[in-house]
Amino acid sequence: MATSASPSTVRSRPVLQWRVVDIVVASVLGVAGGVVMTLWNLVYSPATAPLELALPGLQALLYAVWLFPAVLVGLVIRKPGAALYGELVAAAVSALLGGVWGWTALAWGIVQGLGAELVFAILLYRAWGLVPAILAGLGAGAGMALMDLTFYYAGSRPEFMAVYATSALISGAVIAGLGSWLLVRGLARTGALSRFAAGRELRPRAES
Amino acid sequence: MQDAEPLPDGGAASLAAHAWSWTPAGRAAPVLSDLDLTIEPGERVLLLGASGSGKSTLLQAWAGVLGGADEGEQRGALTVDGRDVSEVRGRVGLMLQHPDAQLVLARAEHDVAFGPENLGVEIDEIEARVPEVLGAVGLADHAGADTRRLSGGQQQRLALAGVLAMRPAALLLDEPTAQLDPAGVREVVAAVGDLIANRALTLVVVEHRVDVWAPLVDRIVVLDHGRVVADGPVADVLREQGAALAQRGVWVPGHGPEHPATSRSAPGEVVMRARNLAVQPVGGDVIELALDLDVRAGEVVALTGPNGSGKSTVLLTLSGLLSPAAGVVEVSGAGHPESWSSAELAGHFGFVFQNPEHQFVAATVRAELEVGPSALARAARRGSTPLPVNGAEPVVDALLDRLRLRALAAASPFTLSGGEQRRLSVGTALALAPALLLLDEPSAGHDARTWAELVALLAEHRDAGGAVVMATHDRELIAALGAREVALPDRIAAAASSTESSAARVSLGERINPVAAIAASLIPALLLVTTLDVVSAAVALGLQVLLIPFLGIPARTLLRRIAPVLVAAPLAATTIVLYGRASGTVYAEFLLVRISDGSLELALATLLRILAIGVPAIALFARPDATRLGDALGQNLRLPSRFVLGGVAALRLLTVLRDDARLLERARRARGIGDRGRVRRGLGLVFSLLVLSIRRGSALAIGMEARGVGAPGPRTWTRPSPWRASDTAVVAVAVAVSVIAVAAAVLTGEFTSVIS
Repeated sequence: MATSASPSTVRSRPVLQWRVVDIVVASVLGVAGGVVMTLWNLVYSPATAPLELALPGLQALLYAVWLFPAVLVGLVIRKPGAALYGELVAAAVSALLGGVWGWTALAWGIVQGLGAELVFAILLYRAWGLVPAILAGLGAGAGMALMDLTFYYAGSRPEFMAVYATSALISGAVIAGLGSWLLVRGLARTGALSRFAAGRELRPRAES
Repeated sequence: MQDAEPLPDGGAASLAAHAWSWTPAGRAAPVLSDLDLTIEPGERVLLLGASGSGKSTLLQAWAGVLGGADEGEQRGALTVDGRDVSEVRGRVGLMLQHPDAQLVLARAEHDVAFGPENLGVEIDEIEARVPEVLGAVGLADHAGADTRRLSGGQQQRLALAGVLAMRPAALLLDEPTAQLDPAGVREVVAAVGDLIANRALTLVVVEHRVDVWAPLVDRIVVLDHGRVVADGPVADVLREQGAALAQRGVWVPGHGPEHPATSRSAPGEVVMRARNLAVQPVGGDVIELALDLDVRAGEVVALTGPNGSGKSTVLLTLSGLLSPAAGVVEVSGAGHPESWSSAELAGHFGFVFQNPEHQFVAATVRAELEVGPSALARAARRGSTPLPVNGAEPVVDALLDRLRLRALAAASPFTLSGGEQRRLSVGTALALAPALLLLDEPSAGHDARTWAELVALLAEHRDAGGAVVMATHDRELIAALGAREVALPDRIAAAASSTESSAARVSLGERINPVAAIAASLIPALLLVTTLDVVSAAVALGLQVLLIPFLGIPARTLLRRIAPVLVAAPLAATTIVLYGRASGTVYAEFLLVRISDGSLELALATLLRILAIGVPAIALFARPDATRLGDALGQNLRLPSRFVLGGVAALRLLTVLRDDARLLERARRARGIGDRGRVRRGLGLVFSLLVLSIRRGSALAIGMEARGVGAPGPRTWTRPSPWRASDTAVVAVAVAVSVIAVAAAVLTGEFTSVIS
């Protein structure tokens, strides 16, 4: 089975400039993420109602569905700004398709995307494993908790806020972080990411 | 021939490779190695070779879209007019196989202008070129057409016009007719023939079918494993290499692929009958066919007819994936398929989709073949199907050998070559030994070798007493299988030509600059989102309801688009009723729920606030238009054009992906796993959609780069995105609404902010 990549070229420093294929695939993934967000917008309330009934604030355990485009696009593209761009495009598409939050989704997209982007930046855009993915998910979750508790649940009680923030962080780490990491591995196995470093590290089949 | 110094303006280009090698990143072996090839200005060359011989790579390299050092490693020299390919952007035009990979904008004339815009050609010049090239490919009457509603042949001619508009000196065509019906093939070949007769153009075509292009070319070059193995005049190469080429999968006249004989035994009893059938595609009009059809065991039925005649829709209706619009479909002794469960469908029918990637659902080839048998076994355990079930293991092992896929049993189906994918897709349909096999355009885009493999598999199924129904326009396939042809009548093609939107009376809502629309809905929303009181939200919403009619949007459109917000707002408010900060009288209290005066008031404020934020955002974008949005973001906000164009292209792909999603749903039903729980089905669907979207995005990136995206220098924007007084007014009114709303709250003493 195929082990690591080409023997002749050793790439020590990542190329940080965006290629056309980076831009197009990041945009397409962002749009796809926006569609998923839009569908989630329609069902999230009934879907999380049982959690909310169990303990108010716990509903945020599933809210990282809104965050996965940030981590996913960051992990696939591996360029500065990719996480922010992916989340922003997804948020814009969800607004364009008629989301509940209108264009304020952009503000959430920026803060959530920045949360993930900051983590990748602190790691100097060199680490793309499971731990960085989970940390980026946490970052995005923190962004969401900050925005939601400041603006959306401003009228709620402190204990609710504590439960909500913790749930948002866990959700970001598990759904957006671990989830995106698994998703990238699955996508790489299909060969769809052959033009990206993320796909070449896990090449399914060397010959053909 | 050429002097390297001044670029021969207007003359045809020369193309050359000198000891050139290309190794894609992550591969150990080069795709093309030590290639030496020179194509003189004005030559017409047909480039042949087996799948994977590096033909497409070579075209992309000459077009300068192969990518830089992080995409792979190159050695030797590759030149256009004696210069490095990176110095002569626009001299070489590249056209690809799929319209989806190269049409970027919604309107035909806008799409044609896309290439020259990226190269920074002056507006006057672009405006002169667009009608000229549309005329050259015979689409002068379709300047205003929606590119998605054109036929396949028209779409490819439009793509050709888009390449021509960049004034190339060489035209490189990568299987431009592989996906077209015979009429479309004729259109495209005729258009290319006209062009090379009238212009100074070097032509290089990659194609499996020699007969289609032989009349237009004067030289054939054959590649094998990245090297030139034959090169010379058409007649000489075909005479000397014809048999060897046919072996490699090239369709050579007089060397047709071998296949089993047609069936000698008479067809058996009827397995399926359709009476007085009319069909209806999703979102389309009813196709009145009054079709009567008996399908017998051991026979092959071919549904033929031009694009749009409803072949695929009939096939989907026969297989129970769509309900008949009128008439009946009945499977002998088993009833009407449209009412069956997914497992029952899979037990009776094997369905093969045109694009195999639409029907793959498993992680490995082996698991893919096991999907049907195990779905049926599960259904049998639950007692929900009367079908007999055999053990899956022996069947799958035998199939792996029969399909010659045993060595790939652990590979992901998506990584297989085109021919291997086709074999696997037929294999998944055969895994349950169904009485009836249904196939949609099974041979489109295949070379002679993979075509022969398909014929052999279908003949085997037929000779074992199975029935086959296929939608196809492949005459050779029909002849090879001795198929009974059922020709569907041509329908009067829906008028796809110039649907110029009535420019006379455009409502404010449609005229407003998209950037103004975003600002007008975002600024007030950001202010409202910081408030907590009823008064500010109520005043804002009230003013909006008064103002929205001025946008001139039809009430029905508005209501349909707003519906989700009308549902979501009360749900969110309910949460606050139960868990909002309590104050005043407490009406109910259990566990963590505390309903009080305070929580009720907060809930009302939340309800009104969500409406006041969501409704104007939707009203201002009642009809989102990706082209206009892109023009505005690029010109009014001056965002980097590469990112804007990437976003616009991705938004256009949205409709393609919606069709993909529909196909994926159907394929899962046909495969027997459509009875699974909603969550599991949803997750599987999202994953497959992501795979398809990345593939489509990667292909589109090549098409966009070939059309000049990412070229150095400033881009030309041909469509102005004016910022009118009305745009300023709309933003000002929106800001005024929120200021009045907050002021009203402050004056009444009700104002509450989240920041306190």
